[in-house]
Amino acid sequence: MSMMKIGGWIKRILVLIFALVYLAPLYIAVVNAVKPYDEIIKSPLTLPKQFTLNNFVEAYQSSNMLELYKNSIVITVSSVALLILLTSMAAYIIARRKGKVYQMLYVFSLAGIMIPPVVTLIPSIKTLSALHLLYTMPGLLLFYAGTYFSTTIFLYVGFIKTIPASLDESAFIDGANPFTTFFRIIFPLIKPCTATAIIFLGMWIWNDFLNPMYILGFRGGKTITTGIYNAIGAYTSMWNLVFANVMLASLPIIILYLCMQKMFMQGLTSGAVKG
Amino acid sequence: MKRIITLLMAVILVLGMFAGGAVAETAKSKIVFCVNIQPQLPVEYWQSIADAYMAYNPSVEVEIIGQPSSNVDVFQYEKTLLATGQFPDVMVMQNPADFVPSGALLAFDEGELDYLLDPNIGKIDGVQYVANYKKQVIGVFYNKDIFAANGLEVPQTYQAFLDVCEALKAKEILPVSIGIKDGWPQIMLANMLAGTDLLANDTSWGIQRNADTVKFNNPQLVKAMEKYQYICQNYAGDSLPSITYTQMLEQFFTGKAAMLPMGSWVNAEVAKAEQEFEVGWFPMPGDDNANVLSVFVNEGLSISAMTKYPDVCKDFVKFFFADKALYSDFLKGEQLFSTTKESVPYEMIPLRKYIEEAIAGMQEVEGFESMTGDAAFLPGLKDYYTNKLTQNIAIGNDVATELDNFDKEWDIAKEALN
Amino acid sequence: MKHNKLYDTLFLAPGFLVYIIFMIIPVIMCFLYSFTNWDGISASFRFIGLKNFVNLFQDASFFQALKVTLIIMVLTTLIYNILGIILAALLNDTGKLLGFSRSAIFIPTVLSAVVVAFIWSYVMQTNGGVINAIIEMFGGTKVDFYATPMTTIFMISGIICWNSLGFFVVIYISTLTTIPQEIYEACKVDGAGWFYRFFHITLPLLAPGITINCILSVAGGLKQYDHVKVITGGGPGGATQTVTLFGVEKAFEYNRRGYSSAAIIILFIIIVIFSIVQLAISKKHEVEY
Repeated sequence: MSMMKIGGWIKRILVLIFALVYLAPLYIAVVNAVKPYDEIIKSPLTLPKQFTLNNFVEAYQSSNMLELYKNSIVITVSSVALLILLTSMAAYIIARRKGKVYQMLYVFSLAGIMIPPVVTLIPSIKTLSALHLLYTMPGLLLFYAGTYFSTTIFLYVGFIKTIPASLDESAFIDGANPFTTFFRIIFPLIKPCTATAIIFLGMWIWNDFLNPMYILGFRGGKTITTGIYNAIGAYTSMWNLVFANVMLASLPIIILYLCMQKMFMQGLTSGAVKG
Repeated sequence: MKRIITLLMAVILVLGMFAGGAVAETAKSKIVFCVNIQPQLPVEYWQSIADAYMAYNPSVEVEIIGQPSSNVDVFQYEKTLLATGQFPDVMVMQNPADFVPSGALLAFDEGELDYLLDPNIGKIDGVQYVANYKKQVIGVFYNKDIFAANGLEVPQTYQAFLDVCEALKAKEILPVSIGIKDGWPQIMLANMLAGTDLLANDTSWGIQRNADTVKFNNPQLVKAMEKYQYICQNYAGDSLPSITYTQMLEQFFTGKAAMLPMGSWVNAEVAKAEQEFEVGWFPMPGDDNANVLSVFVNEGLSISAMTKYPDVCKDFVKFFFADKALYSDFLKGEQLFSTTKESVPYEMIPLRKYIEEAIAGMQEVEGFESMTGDAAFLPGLKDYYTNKLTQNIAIGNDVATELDNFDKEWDIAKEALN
Repeated sequence: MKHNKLYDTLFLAPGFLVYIIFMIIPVIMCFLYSFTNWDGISASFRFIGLKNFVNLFQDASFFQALKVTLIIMVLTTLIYNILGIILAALLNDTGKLLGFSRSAIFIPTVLSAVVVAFIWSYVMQTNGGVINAIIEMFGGTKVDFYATPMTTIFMISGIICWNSLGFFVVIYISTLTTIPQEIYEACKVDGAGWFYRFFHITLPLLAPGITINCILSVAGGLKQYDHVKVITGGGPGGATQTVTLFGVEKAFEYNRRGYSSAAIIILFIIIVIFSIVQLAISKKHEVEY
C-alpha cells in the first residue's frame, strides 16, 4: 500500500511539473505585462523588479476598452443565451423522438462541425445585408446561432438522452404542455450541460476575431478580441503593451472558466460525450 | 426561466427591428467614403475631410467607413464590400484593374482631373478611374553616424553598395534591415533593383508583359532578383522570416542596422526624432550610377459606378485636392509628395527636403508590382509578388525557377479572366 | 404515447431555420460557385463544369496547401490524442494537486488564437525570444524556428496543440470517469500493474472518447485558419499556407471565387471522408460494458 502511495505522489508531482511548464508562456505574458519595456528586453523571465501598471493604463486608453468590453459582453451573453435556447429545445425533440426522420435530422444538424468557417462568412454577409442586419449586433447573434448550432446540439442531445424519459412523460400525462414540461422539468435537469455549453460557446464567441470584423464592419463596433488584434497590429514589438492587451482581453474569459469549472466538468462527465 | 427566455426573445426581436428600421430617409444626399486608416492618417483625419465637405456643401452627408481592423487591407476589404452589395460611393483605390472588368468604377471625364500634375497616370485603355493623390519614393535610409564612424561614403554604384555592406559586416554591424514576416516590407529592395536593372532600360516593360511579348524570367529581372537575393542572404541577418516591419524599423532606429530600404513614409518615423543619430537617404544605385528612382503612384480616389450621386462624388473628389489645408494635412502625416499642379507646402523635416532636392532630374520608374494602368499586374499577382516570389527568393530559392513559376501564375490568372 | 407535431415543429423550427440560413445555404452556394468562373464581385458568371477542379489538380500551390494542412492535421491529432490520453489517465484521480494541474492544462484552451499567437511569437522569436534566451543561458546556440518551412509548420502545430490540448484532456477525463471503478478494483486484486491496466482496460474503454476526439481533432486540423493566419499569414512564400488560407487568398486577392470554392469543397469532402472512416473504424472497436 505504501508503495502505491509513493507512486501516487510521484505521479502527482510529475503532473504538477508538467502543468507548471505548460503554463510558462502564460507566466511570461503576465510578468511582462507589468514590466517597463526596457526590463522586458533585459530580463524577460524574472519577476518584475519595477512593478508597473502603466502598460495597462496605456492599452486601456489607446483603444477605448470600456466600449470593447461592453460590446464583447453584450455579444457573448446574448449569443450564448440565444444558442442555448434554440438548441436545447431542438435537441430535446431530437433526443426524445424515435424514428428515422429524427435520426436523419440529428445527422443533418451535426454536418456543420465539418464545414470550414470561411465558407459561410461571405454568403451570410449577403443574407444579413438583405435582412438589413449587417453591421449590427443582432446580425452577428443570428450568424453565431447558425455557426455553433451543430456543436451545441451535439452536447445537448447526448446529455438529454441520459435523463429518464419517464420524467417528462409523467408530466405530459398530467396535462402539462410541452413548453411547460421542457422549461419546468427538463431545462433545470440539463444545467450541467448548459454550463459546459456556456463555457465552450462563451470562449469561442468571446475569442472570435474574423466574423465580428466583417459582420460588425467599421460601423457596428469592435469586440475586445478584434480590438486588441487591431491595437497590437500597430506595435508588434512593444511587447509590454502587447501583453497588457493580451491580459485585458483574456482575463474575463479565464475568470468565467474558473467560476464555472465544477459544473462544466460535471456536464462533460455525465454523458455529453457519449453521443 | 420561461419569463426570462420570453423577455430575451423579445429583446432580440426588437433589436433586430431597430437595426432594420434605422435607415431613416433624409432629404440629404448621403455618400459613403471608404478610407484607409493608418497610424499617420487616423479616422479623425478622414472625418475632418468629411466635416469640411459637409460644411461646404450642406445638402450632402458624408459617412466615413474604413477597414474593420488594422490587419485588414482596405483595398481587399473593398472587394468584400462590392461582393456583398455594400460598395461605397467614394473610396481610396489601389488596384482599379481588379474592379474595372466588373464595371464597378465610374470613369473620370477627359480633362476633369487637369488640376493633377499628371492626369494621365494609370489610365486603363485610355480611361481614367483614379484621381492619384500621392507619390512616394523608395530609397535607402542610412545611419549617418555609423557611416561616418566607419569612414563609409554613400555608394554610387551597386559594387560600392556591396563594399559598404561588407565593411559593415566586418565590423559586426547589421548592414541592411529586412524582414519578410509581414509579407510586404522586403519588396522595397526588390523593387528598386527591378527598377535599376529592368524598368529603367525598358520603360514600357509592364505593358509588354500584359501583351505577353515578354516574360518575368528574363536575364534583366533574373539579375535584379539575384542581387536582391544576395543582399538578403548575406547582409540582412539570420532570421528574415521572423522579422516584422516594426522590428525592421526598430533594428534601424536603435542603431542595430545601418541601412533600411523603404518608402519615403519612413520620414514620419524620422520626424519623431527618437533616434540618437542622423538619418540620411540615397537611392539604390545601379551598376554604373545612382540615377534611377522607384516611385509609388498607385493610390488615389475612385468613385463607384453604382452611386446614386455621381456629381456629388466627383465634387467631393475635387474638394479633396482643392482644400489646401486638408490636403497638406494628408501629405504631412507621411511626408508625401503632392500630385497637384499647384504645389502644396507643409512643414517638412530636413531629410524630406533633402530627398526632394536629391531626386530632381532622376529617371523615375514605377514600383515594380505597383505599376499602374495598362502596365498593372493581373488580379492577385501583386500579392503573389509580395507574399510568394520575393519571400521565396529572399530565403534562397532558385531565382530562375521562381520567375518561371511567376510566369505560370500569370498564365493561370490570365486564363481565369476569360 | 402521441406527440403533438405542432409542438415538435415549434421546438425544432427556430434553431434549424438559422442553421439552414447561415450554414447550409452558404455551403450549397459554395458548391454551386465551384462550377462557375465567378470572380466574386461581378454580377454575372458562367458555369464552366469541372474546370476549376481540373485546374486545382494541376495547381502546385494547392497541393502544397493540402500537404501543409494534412501535416498540421496529423501532428495535432497525434499530440492531442496520445498526450491527451496519457494526461487524462494521470489526472483522473482526486486531490488538490491534480485539481490544480487539471485547471492549469485547461486554461490555455479559453484563450483566443490571436492572444496565443502573440504570446508565442514573442516566446519563439529568433532574436530576443524567451526560448532562445534560455538556450543561450545554458550555453547552447540559438534555434531559428522559422529556418525552414517544415520547422515553421512544426512550430505552428505545437502552438495550436498548446492552445487546445486541454479540451481533449477534459473529454478523455470525462470518458474515463464513466468507466466503472469495480473493473479496476477487480484488476488490482488480480495484481495487474498500472501499465497492464492502462493498455487492457483504460484504452479499450476509452474508445468512445477516442472516436469523438479524433473526429474533432481531424476536422479541426483540416479547418485550421486562425493560428496560421496570425502566426505566419501563410508565409514565407506560401510555404505554410493551409487550404483555408489558400481559399481566402484566391477569393479575395485573385478575384477567383469559383476556384476558391472548388478548393474548399475538396477540403469539405476530405473532412467528410475522414469522419466516415473514423466512425466505421470505431464502430468495430468500441467495447460495451
